[in-house]
Parts: sequence; C-alpha cells; structure tokens
Amino acid sequence: MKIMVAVKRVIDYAVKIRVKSDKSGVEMSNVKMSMNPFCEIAVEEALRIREAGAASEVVAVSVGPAQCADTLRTALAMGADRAIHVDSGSLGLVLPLSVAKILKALAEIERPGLMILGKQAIDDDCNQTGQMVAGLLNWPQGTFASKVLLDKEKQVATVEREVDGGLETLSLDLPAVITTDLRLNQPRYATLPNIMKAKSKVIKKVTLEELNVEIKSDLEVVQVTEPPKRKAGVIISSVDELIDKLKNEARVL
Amino acid sequence: MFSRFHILNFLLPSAINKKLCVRLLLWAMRRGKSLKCLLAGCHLYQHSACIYQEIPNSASAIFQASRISLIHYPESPLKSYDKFNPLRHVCPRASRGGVLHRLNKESLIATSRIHQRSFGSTTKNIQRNPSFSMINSDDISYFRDILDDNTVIQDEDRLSSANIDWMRKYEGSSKLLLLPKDTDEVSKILRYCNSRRLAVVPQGGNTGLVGGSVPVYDEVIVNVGLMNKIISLDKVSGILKCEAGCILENLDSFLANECYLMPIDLGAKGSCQIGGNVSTNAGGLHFVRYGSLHGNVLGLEVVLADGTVLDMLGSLRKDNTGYDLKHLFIGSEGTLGIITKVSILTPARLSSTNLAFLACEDYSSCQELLLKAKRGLGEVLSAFEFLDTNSMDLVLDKLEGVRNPFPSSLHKFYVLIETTGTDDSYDRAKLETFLVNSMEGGLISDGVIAQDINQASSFWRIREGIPEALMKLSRSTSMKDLVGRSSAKVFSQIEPFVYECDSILLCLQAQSMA
Repeated sequence: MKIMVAVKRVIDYAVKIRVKSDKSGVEMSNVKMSMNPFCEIAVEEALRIREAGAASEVVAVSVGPAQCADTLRTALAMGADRAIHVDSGSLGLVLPLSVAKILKALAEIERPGLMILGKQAIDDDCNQTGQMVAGLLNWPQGTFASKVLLDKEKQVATVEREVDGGLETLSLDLPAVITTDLRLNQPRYATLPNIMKAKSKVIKKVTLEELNVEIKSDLEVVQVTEPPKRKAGVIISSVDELIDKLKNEARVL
Repeated sequence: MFSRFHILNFLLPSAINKKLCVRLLLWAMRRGKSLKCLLAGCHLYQHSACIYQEIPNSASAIFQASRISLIHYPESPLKSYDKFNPLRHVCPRASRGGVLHRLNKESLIATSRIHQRSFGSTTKNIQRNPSFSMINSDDISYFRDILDDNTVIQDEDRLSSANIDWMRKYEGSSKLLLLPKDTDEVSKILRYCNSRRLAVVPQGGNTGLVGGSVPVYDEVIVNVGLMNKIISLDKVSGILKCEAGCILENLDSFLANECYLMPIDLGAKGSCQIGGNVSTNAGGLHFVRYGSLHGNVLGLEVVLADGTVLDMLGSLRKDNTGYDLKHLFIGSEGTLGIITKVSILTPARLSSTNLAFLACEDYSSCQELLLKAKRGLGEVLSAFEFLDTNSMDLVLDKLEGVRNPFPSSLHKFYVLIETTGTDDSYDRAKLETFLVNSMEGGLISDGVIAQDINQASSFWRIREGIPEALMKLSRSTSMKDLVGRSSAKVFSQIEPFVYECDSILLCLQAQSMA
C-alpha cells in the first residue's frame, strides 16, 4: 500500500510575522520558511505506518513555487521514499479548493491507499483541504486524528479524534483521508545519513497542465492587517483605585 | 566556550593525586594555557613545591605560562581586605582567595572540607572583616532621603531572593537592597557607603554561576535592575548605548527590529543584565564568531567606590587616543566600580541560521572538528559548543520536555555547530557538505540538522539547560556523592581540558613504558 502525504511550505512557526506596508499580505522576503508543523506530523505518521509494515511506500506531495522542493527535501530526509512537486508557477496564492483538486488528480494517478494531511496550515489556518479532497474523491475522512491504527488485512483504519468532552473513534474503509492533530506523534529529526540519502531520492516535477487541473481563484484577498496592539497594563496601588478604574474607566461596575 | 564553573566544582574535591597535579600543571605549561582554572583548585598549590623539586627550572616557566603567579595568588587577595574598599570586600575572587589563603595554611585535611562546602555557601568558613560598619537606622533614613521609598527594600521576601544566587550555592544575609534609578543615585549611594565604611555588593540579574552577585555577609545590595533604558542606537554604525540594567534578551529583541543583534548570547538571556555581562566579561554562545566583550564594548560609564562617576561612554570604534581604562572594568566583577551605562558595537543580524547537533566518540574528534569547522565553514561558523554524555544524561533526566536527538544509541560527546550567513541554500549546502566530509572522515558518528527554528531551539535547550540541570541535581544529591566514585569516573566528569590531559597522560605512560 502507498501513502500519500501533502506538505506545505510556510513561514516558520517561530518567526515574528510582519504585515507588508501596503497591506497586500505578509512579508515573505528574507524570512525563514519551514514545513508546516501539522504536515511534519503527517509525514511522521506515514513513516511510522510504513515502518510497522502496513505500507510499502510514502510519497510526499507539495504544491507551490520552486522553493517547495526544499520542503519536500525535508520530508525525504525524514524518510519519505519519493516526492512530487506540483509547480504552481506564477500563480501566487493557491487556495484550499485548488490544492484539493490537484491532490485529487494526483491520487487518481498514484492510487494511494491512504492520504494523510495536516489538519491545517499555520499561515492561512484554513482547515479545509483535507475535507475537500475527501469530498472530491468520495473517500471517508478522519479529521483531527490523535491516534491512527491500520488493519492491513481488513483494509480498515481506526482513527481516534479529540472531541469536546472526550474521544471519538472512527472506523474508515480504505482508501481514506486522515488529517493530523498536534498530539498524534512527535516528528523525528532529520539525521545526517538520511539527509544524504534524501539527496539521491527523486522529486518529480509536475505541471498543472499535465494534471489537467484548471485553477480558478474565486476568492480575493482584500486586505491583510495586523491585530490591534495590546495596550500596556498599569499597576495600581489600592483596591479603591481598582474600583474607581472599573467604574469610571472600564465602566463595568 | 566552556564554563569555568565545572572546574571549580569538580577539581576541588576530586581525588587527584600529587603526580597528576604535577602533570596537569606541566601539561598546561607546555600548552601555554592559562593556569587560572587549575590554580583554583587550591590543593594543587600545595603540590607546587613538588613541581620545583621534580622538574628543574619549571617554576619560572610556570609563571610565564600562567597569568596568575603561583606565589602571589594565595597572598594578595587577603591583603586587599586591609586596604579599605567597600566593593573589594565582596569581590567573589577575593572571597575565594580568602578561602585559599586559609586552606593553604592548613594541612591536607582542609581539602576534605571543601568537599562539603563545594555545594554550600562560602560564608561558613571565612570571617567578616570587622572594620566594616553595620547598617543602622540612620543609614536607612539617609537612603530613603536620596532614593524613592519603594526602591529601599528591607522586605524579607525580596531580600531573600537577592541574597541567594541562582544555583542556590551561596547565600548572604544582607538586610538592605537598594534599587537606584540613575547614575546619580548610584553615585550618592556609593559615596555614602564609602564614608560610613559600609560594604556593598553590586547586583544585576543575579544569574551568575559562581556566586559573584550575592553578598557574603551583610553587604548592602545595589541592584541596577531599574536602570533599564535604551539610550540610543546609531543605525548606521550599529552602536547601541544603554543603561546597565537592560536585560540581554530585551536588548536583542529591540535590535532585531533594526536588523542588528547583540554580540553576546547566553542561556540566561531572559534575566541577565548587560551591566553584569560586562562586569563578568561573559563569553556566551557566539564567542567563536563575535569574540570577547573586550572587543565589542566601546565605552562604559562607571561609578567608582567613592562615588566618582567615570564617563568613558565613547562610541568611536576606531578610538586610538590615550589609555583605554574601560578594559579594567570589563571582567572586574564589580570590584573596581559599578557599571551604569554601556556602549556596545552590535553586528548585523543575518537572515539564515542553520544548526546541527552531532555525536562524537572521543574528545580529540571534537577538537579536530573545531579545527575543521573553522577552516571548512569559515565565515559562516557562528557557534561551536560541546557537551559530554554525563551532561546530556543529566539534562535528559532533570529537565522536562528535553528530547535526545539520538534516542537509539549512546555517544560519549556531543557538539553543536551553528552557521549564520546571508544565503540559506548556500549556507545549508556548505554545512551539509562539511558534515558529510566529517562523517566520512570518522569525526562524527551521528548527526541531526534542525529543519526549523523549533527544532533548533530544542537543540539549544540541551546545551543551555546544563546549568539548570546541575542546579536541580544539587538539590537532590551532594557533590560528594558524585565524586565519591573511583577517580577514573571522576575524570569522565571533569572539564574538557582534563579529557585532553587524560589522553596526554596515557601517551606519557605509554612512552615511559616503551
């Protein structure tokens, strides 16, 4: 069985985000880019399934500009077997529905038994791609997985999800789509020998024409602004002062 | 790159025999190393006589090799007590010197006392100098006069945290903590203390590992933490002027907005203050790239013990006029004056940083790796740090959320290599090529490269967490338990230069047998 993992190149989780002065987006030049943390968890889960013997191959997929190859290289260094890079060329922003259509086209070519995605990307926080691709493929979906068990014989995946007030357990017939939550696993580090091995692994480049997918953007980003700055707090010296401030400044009493 | 504090803790109580001491000293001498650290283990001094006997002409050679003369070191610190200087009273080196002096007069039994004391407080065994006055109510009211009420602190809770050092090894019993807000207030405090013969201890973030920031007895604690204003940043030259109480991390995040960075970075950056960094000549993680504070500090404003304000706050890097007095204060541990303002040269913040965490099998590989890194990585090398398996085990054991990058196998030594440059893909390729070559050459046995900033911080956490893990260890075990094992095991825990020495000794033994 083959597992397909979608990975996204995003601004590093630890970088302080700056909004461009013309409010058209966030500053991307000279900013550290890394793999989306949820995608890292997805790669790790796929590798663990393969190492447990339930899958034979892990294919990492990314949609985006040429630099996405670096992110795919990270997935390969973690242990993925090969990678597919769908070049978005000059398209700029690729929205979840477009990505879902691309993934669907790839799934039809690659025929994976399981598709694992991060539950959301930390840059746009959309949380849509996994659900949309499952809908387009008409596959069952297990979103926000915190535990995944695969039964190779019965071709069934058991997925535990953290829901309000407890855990929900789903049983999915394969092929299926799973999106990962934070507590599913702790991704491994890329070791030096694996980084070296990754250099000889193949990253196949695919264009949108080859996949026969047409991308129409029906969403337009109007403006990106920074959240309002939090005002500095004040230290007050007495209870009376607090009551006075609550009454006259905050007007909550 | 290596903290001296290990040596003080480990060498002192270790069961190093006479011959070994002699050989250690000889080795250091041949290598032209400073003997400062070795001499800190005072019982080495007791063996120095044997060196003179066993190796002719060695004494003068040792003096040349060491920065501190063997003869004068144990004598001079105590002399400094005789001459009145409120700051000198609490100089950490002086207090250690006092201990040294006492112990030298005693027999070897004294060494066993250090066993118990190495994780306790130095205050037990040395005498308070009676020529210093005690604080009275007049003093308090004077301080209340010149300072704001809420900056004269006698509250037990706040005093107790100011009295004890971060490692909880040294505890004083000061009754007064002063928080001056500007240079003028510092000057008034010191002038008054000088006239009243009150002992003073300057304090910054109180993150030091050797007890230099806490009182030995009842000294007045002068904490400059409220002097935390950034005065100016020259955006063209990158020269930052700020007050001594600025927290290192705050300065760095201020500079980050202007694309500069502090030339010094250390584990305690969230609480340590720049004044303390300068006073202790802190080295930090980027020493290999940006060098010592002697090169980066361009000017200082200092208040001397008698209250005189010495304005040396220049901001001209290429200043070749006259004497450079500021260097006296860098690393003086507050014994000559209290630093109130700092002018510091900050390098440009570069966009691409890569970090590798590596495993090595022996100490000589680590050394060779450093040599190769300097040549092979050249301009992008920004940090080269080292830890041994004991430190690693300790960190994994004592700190939560720390994860071993090599879970499946054990290694003797670990090295962190950081590169900082301008082109991410170029730097990364350079680092990877270097690491592959080193691995093929057998210098590295395993390695991981951080794929994002989060992974990089978790690698740094291991190195930076060592003092914290040691602190936690000291609460649960005494150092005696650690060194009570066989001397071979002790060796595996002593600082790296001893590793080197160890291998040299093996060579010597082999030679003598041949």
